[in-house]
Amino acid sequence: MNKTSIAISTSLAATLVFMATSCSSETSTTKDLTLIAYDSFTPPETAFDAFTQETGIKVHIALAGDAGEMVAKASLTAGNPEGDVIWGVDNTLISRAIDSKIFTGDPIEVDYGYVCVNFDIAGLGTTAPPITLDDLVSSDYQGMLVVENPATSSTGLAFLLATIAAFGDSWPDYWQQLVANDVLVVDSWDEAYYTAFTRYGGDRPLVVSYSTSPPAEVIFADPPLPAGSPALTGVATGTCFKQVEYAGVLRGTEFTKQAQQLVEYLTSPIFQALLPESLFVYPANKDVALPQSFIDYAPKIVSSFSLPPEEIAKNRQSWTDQWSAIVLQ
Amino acid sequence: MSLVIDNISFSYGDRNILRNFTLQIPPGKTTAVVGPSGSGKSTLLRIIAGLLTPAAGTIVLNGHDISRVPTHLRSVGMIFQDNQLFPHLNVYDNVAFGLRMAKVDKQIIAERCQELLDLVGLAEAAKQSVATLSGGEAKRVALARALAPCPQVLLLDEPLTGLDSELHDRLAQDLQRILHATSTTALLVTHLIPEAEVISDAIHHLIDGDQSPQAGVSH
Amino acid sequence: MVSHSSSVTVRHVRLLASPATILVLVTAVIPLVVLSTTVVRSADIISIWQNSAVQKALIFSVWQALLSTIFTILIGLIATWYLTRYQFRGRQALITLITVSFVLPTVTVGAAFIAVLPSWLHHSTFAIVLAHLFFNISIVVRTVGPRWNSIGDQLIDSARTLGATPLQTWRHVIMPLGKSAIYSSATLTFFMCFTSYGIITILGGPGLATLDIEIYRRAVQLGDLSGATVLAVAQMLFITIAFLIWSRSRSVELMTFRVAAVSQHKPAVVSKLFVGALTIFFLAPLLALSIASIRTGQSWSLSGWKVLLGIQNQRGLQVDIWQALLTSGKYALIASCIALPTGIAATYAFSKNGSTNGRWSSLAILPLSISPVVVGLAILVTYDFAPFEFRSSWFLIPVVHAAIAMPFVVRAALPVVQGIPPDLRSAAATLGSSPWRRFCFVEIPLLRPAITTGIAFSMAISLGEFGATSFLTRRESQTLPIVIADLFGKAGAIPRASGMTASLLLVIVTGIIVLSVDRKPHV
Repeated sequence: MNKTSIAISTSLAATLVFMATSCSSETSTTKDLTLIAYDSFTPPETAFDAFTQETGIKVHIALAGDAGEMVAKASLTAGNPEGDVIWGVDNTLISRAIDSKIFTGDPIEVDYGYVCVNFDIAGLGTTAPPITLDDLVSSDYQGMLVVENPATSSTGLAFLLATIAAFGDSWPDYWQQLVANDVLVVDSWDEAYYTAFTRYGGDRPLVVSYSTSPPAEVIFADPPLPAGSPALTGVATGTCFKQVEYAGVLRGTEFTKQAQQLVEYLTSPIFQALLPESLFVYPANKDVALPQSFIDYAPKIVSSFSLPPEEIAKNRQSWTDQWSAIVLQ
Repeated sequence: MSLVIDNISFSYGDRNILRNFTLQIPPGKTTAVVGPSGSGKSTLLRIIAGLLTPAAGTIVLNGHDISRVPTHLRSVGMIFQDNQLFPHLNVYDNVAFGLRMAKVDKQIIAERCQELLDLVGLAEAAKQSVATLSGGEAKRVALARALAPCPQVLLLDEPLTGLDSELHDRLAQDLQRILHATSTTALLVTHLIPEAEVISDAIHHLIDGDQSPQAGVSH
Repeated sequence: MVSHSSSVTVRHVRLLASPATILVLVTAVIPLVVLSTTVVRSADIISIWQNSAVQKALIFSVWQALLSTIFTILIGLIATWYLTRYQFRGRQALITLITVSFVLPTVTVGAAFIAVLPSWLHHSTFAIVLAHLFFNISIVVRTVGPRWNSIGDQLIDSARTLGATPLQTWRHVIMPLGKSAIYSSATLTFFMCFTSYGIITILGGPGLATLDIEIYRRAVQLGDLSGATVLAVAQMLFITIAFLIWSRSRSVELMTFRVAAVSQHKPAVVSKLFVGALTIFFLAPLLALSIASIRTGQSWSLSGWKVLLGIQNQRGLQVDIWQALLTSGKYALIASCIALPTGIAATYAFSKNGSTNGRWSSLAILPLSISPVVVGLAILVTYDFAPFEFRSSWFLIPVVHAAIAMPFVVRAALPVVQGIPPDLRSAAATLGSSPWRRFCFVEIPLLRPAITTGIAFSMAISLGEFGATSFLTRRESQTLPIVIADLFGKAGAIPRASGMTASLLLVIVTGIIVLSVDRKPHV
């Protein structure tokens, strides 16, 4: 047999082996549940062991794109879902999700976080860091801020919503002032944070990010920082928009009772304790103690902005269109 | 329209291909340079055409030193061993090519092409694709093409090599007739003495880049 | 040709084209039809086009595709010229580099460009055009190259002896001989740029959105599935019909893998400079990626590599790169096992009697012309009733990859299939071999270049595919591109470096596969 035949047969054989092995891991018995989540849902491997031990049910995670994609798909398949439980519908999407009737019963809050302006302590130099939204339009911070496009970034959207909640109908004026103050707009958080932010070689010391970014900076610093080091970045605590994430049982699942058990597990202290340092969010369960990194480096957000989910869903498009008209000239 | 090749030397790497080669081509006549393969014949033609630059020596055409003139301005026509007809053009367009490059009037081009195609006996083949031509036909088209822009000198690189023997003789006769009829100053290189004898008026021998005394043949 | 000695009869043609047809129908046409009838509100069919964002997106799509195509053709032709003329050290390496670039994952290359370009260039049409050049120059080189290989030194010399200036030689000899291939590569390039998604996502920016991106926004961010579907169907129809019309029916220009250097001359200084610049252009993004992978913040560090490969544990990071590689590899292997026979069978279907009615092979491009998010959604609504309930099956992902890879398999296989002398089969028959044995022992060995190129293309495309893959639900671990996106989504020096490392890994793995499979035959 010549080389080509060998190659082809080997690939075919390998394929069959692969298919066989994956098929076997796919055999679903009545005691398996599928949890639909967004792509960046990466809890530790042992996260569901306690649940399996207690109920005998195995949990398979199905990654469904980012939060928006996940909800779009869930809406389309309402009543005939791809899984049993869904994790991570946030407050900008929950209204649409409920309207599409994707849930059985009410969704339950599983975690929350804040989208706030972060500042690079070293990058600011001698300038005092901003605290409120009003600070951002002062000439002290001219040309220092980078924000994300709310039409393409959920982080950007959250910041826009903060300004709408803060200034009501005169929010366009605020943005006019930001534009006059030389604000930079990019399309994604990734870009804002890693290309424009001074901490990573950019020229903007102020970036719209998360209140849990400062502890992440410390945890992921390289070389590792000794305990008790001062923070590298901080948060303008008066600029925060509260993001809440929900989970729920999907309508149409065969295993409603078991799914309900899983949802309860998702809010249990055992699981919730894993959230801060894997997803960098705050656990909804108040009984869970925060890890030291959060205590030391995540500023306590006393007051934040929020808007009713129905209002967000209703006005999202017109707000972003209006924003584009003002800012993207 | 005389061509004087004066002391041409050419090397490729450390191999001397031509050494102080000198030759005078009389106007209106066909001269042949005969030599075995590898003796530098094709190189000679390419130098005359301006496709290669000699290390030393000059080429003088009608009293003008064309050693530094680029090929397309030399008015030196060439028929390559494998014809090199343009595959994307038909017979007519191949023949017309040189005249079109010179931006000659369309009417004149038409007349000239007709004249040449008649001369080489391919008048009906004008619209034919060159891919369908036989060996002999292709050679004739190449001849017509090279002659169309009235070059001052025509170079022929092994024109009959590779053609079968019956075609050989016929084509040799035709070449001799056409070159004579058009009074073309022609230089032909070949390794076949019989071929040279039929077509040309004078023969020179070339052995290893050196020129031997004239063997002298005339019709 | 006597019918019993030809291996393809009219009856066979229909049969041979059917796997490809089924693939296209299953992954693209049927789901789209189902989705349209399910979600589209008829009012939207007209009203969506009145939306200013949609109009801007449409205009920009055409504009950037046009600009990219012109630029790519210009630079591509110059590059092809030098590469098909002169032999120089590193020539083959450069051609390989250019070839591999075509299949590199768009998201990682986009990230690499961001790393290389100065920030004021980051979100500009210029950056997009540059990135498109990076990917699509290979189309020009591989399509026009073989054509220009037929132009030897002597043909040009004969033009010169006929009085043609260099410019005239270009206009009247070189360009006409490449015309059909140039046209074909321009068409394909335009199409690739129009439907480009990953690049625009990264290098586009506020105001620089194409139709695909607008479709995505509508479907996902705004929940307007109806409008998104209308746009997606319109895009598909436009592209497919345009492609059918613009592809000259006589020949689908072939993309071969071997481009020779036919001139005896040495390269001039200008060509050396140009080739040098081109090499730098191709190496720079990869270099930038490599550098970024060993930097954390402002200092040098191998932590990105160590954490990714599992050598170093990192609190808070849960990346299993080996699992991701396995998953991606599995999809890639299966995708090529589907795409290869399907594509080659289709090639035979389009090559009956030695000529090519290549026009219909343009239809293979269909799955590529639909926005990946719409494909994902369409599949979701279509395959959820027995016995076709495979919408969440992991198998669907490699099937979609195969549909995307197939047109390239066809383009690579066509020259090979056409190059098999028909009398070879006759000869085998007279020597006593049955049709099946003829196929195994004569046809397949002769098809080897097509097979290897087809496998290389399919695997590479599958490895780097992001759009449709991220949209189809994955029941097991992440694929490599998903890992990359996940790492880029976390704040901190280590996730950043690891993300760059994973990107580099993806590029390296893709490159290795392509290079080891798509080799010159030993003939």
